[in-house]
Amino acid sequence: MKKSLLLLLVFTLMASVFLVGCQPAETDEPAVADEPAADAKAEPAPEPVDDNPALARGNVLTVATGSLDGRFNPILSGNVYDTWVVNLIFDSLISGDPAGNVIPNAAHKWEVSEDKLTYTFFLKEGMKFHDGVEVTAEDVAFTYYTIAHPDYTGSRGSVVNDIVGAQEYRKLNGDDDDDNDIEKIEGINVIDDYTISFTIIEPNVKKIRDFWPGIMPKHYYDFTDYDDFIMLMQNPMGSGMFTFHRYLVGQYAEVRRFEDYHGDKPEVEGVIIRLMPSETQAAAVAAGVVDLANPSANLENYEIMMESGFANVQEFLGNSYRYIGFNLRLDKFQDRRTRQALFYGLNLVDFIEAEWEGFASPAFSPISPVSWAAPEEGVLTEYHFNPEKAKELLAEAGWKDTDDDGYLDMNGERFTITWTAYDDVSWPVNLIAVAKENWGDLGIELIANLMEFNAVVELVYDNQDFEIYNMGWSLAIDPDPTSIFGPAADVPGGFNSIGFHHERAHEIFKLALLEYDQDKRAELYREWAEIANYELPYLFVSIGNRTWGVNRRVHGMELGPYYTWVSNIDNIKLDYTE
Amino acid sequence: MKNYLIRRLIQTLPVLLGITIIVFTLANAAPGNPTSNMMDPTMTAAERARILERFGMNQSVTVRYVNWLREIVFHRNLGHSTTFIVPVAQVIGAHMWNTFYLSAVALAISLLIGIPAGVISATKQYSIRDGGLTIFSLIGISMPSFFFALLLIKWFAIDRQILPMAGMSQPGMIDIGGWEYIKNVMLHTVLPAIVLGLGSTAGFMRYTRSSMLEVIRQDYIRTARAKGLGERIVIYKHALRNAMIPIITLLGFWIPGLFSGAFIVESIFAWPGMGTIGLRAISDRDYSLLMGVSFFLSFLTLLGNLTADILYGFADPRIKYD
Repeated sequence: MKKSLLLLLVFTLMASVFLVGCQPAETDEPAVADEPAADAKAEPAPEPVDDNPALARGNVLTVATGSLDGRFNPILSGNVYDTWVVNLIFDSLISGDPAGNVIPNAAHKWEVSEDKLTYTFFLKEGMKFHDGVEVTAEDVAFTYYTIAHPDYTGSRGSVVNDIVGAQEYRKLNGDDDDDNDIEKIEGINVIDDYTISFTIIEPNVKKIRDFWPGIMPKHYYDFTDYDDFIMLMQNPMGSGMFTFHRYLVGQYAEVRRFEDYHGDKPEVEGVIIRLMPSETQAAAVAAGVVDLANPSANLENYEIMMESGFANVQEFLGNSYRYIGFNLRLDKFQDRRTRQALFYGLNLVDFIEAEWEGFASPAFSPISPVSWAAPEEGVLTEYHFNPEKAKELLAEAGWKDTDDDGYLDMNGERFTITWTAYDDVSWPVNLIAVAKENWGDLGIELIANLMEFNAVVELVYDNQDFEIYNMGWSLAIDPDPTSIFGPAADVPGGFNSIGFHHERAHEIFKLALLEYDQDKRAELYREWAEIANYELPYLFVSIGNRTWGVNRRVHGMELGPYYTWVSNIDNIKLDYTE
Repeated sequence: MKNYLIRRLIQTLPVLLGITIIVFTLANAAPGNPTSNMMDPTMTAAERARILERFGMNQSVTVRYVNWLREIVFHRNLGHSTTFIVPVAQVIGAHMWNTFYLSAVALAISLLIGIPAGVISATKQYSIRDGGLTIFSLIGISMPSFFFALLLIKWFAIDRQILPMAGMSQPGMIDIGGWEYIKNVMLHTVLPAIVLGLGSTAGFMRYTRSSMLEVIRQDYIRTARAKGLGERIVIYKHALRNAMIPIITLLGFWIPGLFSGAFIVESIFAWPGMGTIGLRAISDRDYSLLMGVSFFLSFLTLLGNLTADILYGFADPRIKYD
């Protein structure tokens, strides 16, 4: 046995000789760290850290990403990471501030008509695309015409759907009859080179947020064959602070500072967005291989990043929540007391602590506390673990154990719940174990039905065939809940698959979309939060934190639930060695 | 030989067709669709339906299969990926050579270690060395590759920082180009190639060992020894050549493996290869890409089998085709 272990060692040594032999004399990879990481934990090194391997990477910011699909186009990008690249290369009419408010960008101002139907944007003069051609209102119009193009398959279609004539344009130009094709979308009007207006069908306070897709140069992107337009995805050109330099498929995307940028140029000379598996992102921050990464928020990753001595961790509450949805069409979930009892009967406080180790907090309404529409503290009922209260509520709702078999029943039927859950991540599986015990104590039988994420989506949203399920929402900046809880979303494929129908709530959704005073709007959403808190269409599980590891050579990085590193790239400064 | 080749190639067609039917049916039987992952709260049901229609998903599975087949046969077109929204052929083209390169290095590692180790293990049967190599191969077979990969990343990329932890090259190296870039890619190959290579070393070693054990008991080996040949020549010239026949079969199966990559190892090392896109195709329900990848790989598997059969003829003069 000893001999064989020795042999194994020999093989390992052989392997390492081979490894060392392969190493080139000079490499840009971080040099060997002389001090073990453990020392750094005891006393964080003072800034700037001399042995910080990231310093050797120069004035270029390296960001880790979990995914890069190469869809670098303002209207085609499908995930957050491709959108980072897009937002560095393209300017859009508007952008956002750290609080999530809309602020001017390529449009130095905009006007909304009295009837709230026409939005007129006034472009800054002298903006240039990366090839030197000036940005005009025609380019803005082209961008929105392309979204309305019948062949368009990206996910931004809803941005133009309420523009007068856009649906018609898509329909008539998309059918087989070429004679009825139309040239113009009625609601998009170029007034002069620097002025463009959009007219929509019905007023909607959120509409302004639909103007964020980046402006595409018409002379570069114009197409007759839609496939040609798609092909330009991997060679994008806009008028943003950075020009596209390179995309190595499945490896990284690199952009470089646009020296003729019309506004204040960023300090950093370039940005590299590098694919890094989520399992090793925290380690990559610790090793100084990347300047910025967003690994899953948990204690292990936090410690790995902090112990390095090269990195700080920025942590904030996400604009999101995890939940368990009830199928409200089923008799057993129609009584709100039953739903409240299930909430009271589940020991979530201990679960959240055990599962997320301080990187998540309880949730009691569908509006994240980070939102301007969040209810004030103390208003919401906090359903902390209280089995006695849960039993009382169940009894009030009519659940009794009449046949003494240890399970509650009503009208001769035992109280069983089938939980449709995905096991791609750990929390649903672990929560089911807790719920089996907690709800079992109340006399409820829980059956777990574990499957893959796509299968849950099909059962829950497309087929509406489930009892309870778990999921999470990453919310948009605007707190409008219509697409999740609205009546129109209770259709196969819609997100209101729980079948939530509440007269006042739906009235609030409508009123809030027509309310242009943000304080009054917040008032309405606070009322909605209280309704949701009382009615419990969902059993709210938790709100997760976000953690970002930031190398200490990076200064001016301001991150928040509404503010990504891309939004403040122009404030970022890097330490580096020449 | 020519007739044999033609006959074999014709036999391949119905098999290939059968494979595509089975894969297409199974992939579509799995729940979900290309928009399942678009869980954007701003996306309405109508918008999802419109996108599905644009992808042709509103048609029945049979119609979609027939369309898919027609495109391949008449236009040599594998369709568009719904994830990457570019032609499937382009996605495969951008990834297959990365995987081929990694797998070829890994295969070289496993052959260079596996075959000599198998020979030693067989000629010194039941010795301490044989026992040690057997245990080593058992470890190699049983150790999960993701665990081994993370272990190596920890040792060499994080603790010692002598090797890169992920990717195929250091960003920016391709701009420098030339020898520096090649060296950099080689450096990035070391860890994934070792994980992939050592995983299959054990297999090659065990096959070589059992095959060798059988061969060295044959009469002609005794004859070779009896006529006074040196042990080295007996083993490496007479025995090994005959013992290689089952290994050639294995190698035939390795040809598709060279392109299919290892899903897990590629994911952990962020290697831009076929395994990575194969996984994406499954999780995103990217049917065209999934069909493209599996069609390509089944074609290579069949080709690999054929190649192995032809190679037998070279290794064993008794095997003749007509």
